Amino acid sequence: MHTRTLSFGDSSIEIITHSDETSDLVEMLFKGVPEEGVNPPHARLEISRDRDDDYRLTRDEKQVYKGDSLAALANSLMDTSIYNLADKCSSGLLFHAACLSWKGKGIILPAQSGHGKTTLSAWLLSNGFDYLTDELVYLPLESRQAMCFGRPLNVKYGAREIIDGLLGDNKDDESIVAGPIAMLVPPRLVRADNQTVEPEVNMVFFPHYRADAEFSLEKLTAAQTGMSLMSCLVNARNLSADGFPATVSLARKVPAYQLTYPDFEGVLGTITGLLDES
Amino acid sequence: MSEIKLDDKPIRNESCHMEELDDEVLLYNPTNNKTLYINKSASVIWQLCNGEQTAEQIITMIQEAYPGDKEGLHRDILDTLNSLADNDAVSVI
Repeated sequence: MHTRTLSFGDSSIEIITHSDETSDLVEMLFKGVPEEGVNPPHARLEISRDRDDDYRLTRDEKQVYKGDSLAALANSLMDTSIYNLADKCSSGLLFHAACLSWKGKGIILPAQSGHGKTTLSAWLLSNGFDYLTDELVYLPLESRQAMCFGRPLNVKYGAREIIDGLLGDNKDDESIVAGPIAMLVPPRLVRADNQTVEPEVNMVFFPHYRADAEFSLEKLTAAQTGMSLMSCLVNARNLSADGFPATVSLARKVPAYQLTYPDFEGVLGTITGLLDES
Repeated sequence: MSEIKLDDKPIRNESCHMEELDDEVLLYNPTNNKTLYINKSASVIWQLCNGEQTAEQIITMIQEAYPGDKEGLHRDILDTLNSLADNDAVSVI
């Protein structure tokens, strides 16, 4: 039996595995997630195999997944872990966002699923940004120091062609977990020297991929930024006044832009230009 | 929600949080997880919705404070009240 604790913000959970295969999967999925936390684990996930030799994932002994696909197990484990970590996080703002760093300057890309966070992150990673997460960013209250949920890039199949182009010779690497809805791609396959850092957030970009749009970059007011950030705040109900004053305070401090793009042409130069000037 | 009538007594949703940012105001409603982006005039109207005065009294109060285009103000205030009600930031009693 092997136990891996995941800690994020002030929330911790533990994952129990019973085989090398599933231990390795957990390590691959959560390599970038710290073990040491400020609070003891509040949920216990366990991966076992049942009599039919199916994988079985439970949360506090309630079944979450049962099936013969390691990739589907990986997706379910990822979703369940994120949900349970976010559920009890109360010491800071937790945003549904990607986070990357350029020469030590952090940017966050808050957006709901389907707005192209992961694909844009992979593109920026391939062009010299350090990739930190495509899913969850934690900012302690009154701080801009980003702590990121370091997981593999969660690439939807609609973006496969683009990602394959970025992966080059690594596109069939055995560490890629191809699930039913998405594939999990370790960032080192896109750029081998990707660094894990905890940068201060310098800018916010709200990404919006639209195939039929023209490239545009719109500077947002603090109110527009606050409104958009609130729609991506995951743990509002755990926070004082629903995290609204803290989110607005962040919106006042950090410049933010609405980024609409039909392809990546112009995106890199625009973002790096703004960061280099800041 | 049906349109607010002049004799309705609108009451603001006390679970909403309001923050002013320069000349703009955000109103966050945790019950539906919606953030409204409103102007300062709308935030004044929201704050006047105390459940004791009617929509007509609110309109009169603002018309007295800002004399001028009475007809336009009447329409704008009712539109604002309806918009706030549509987003559960006010209800009527």
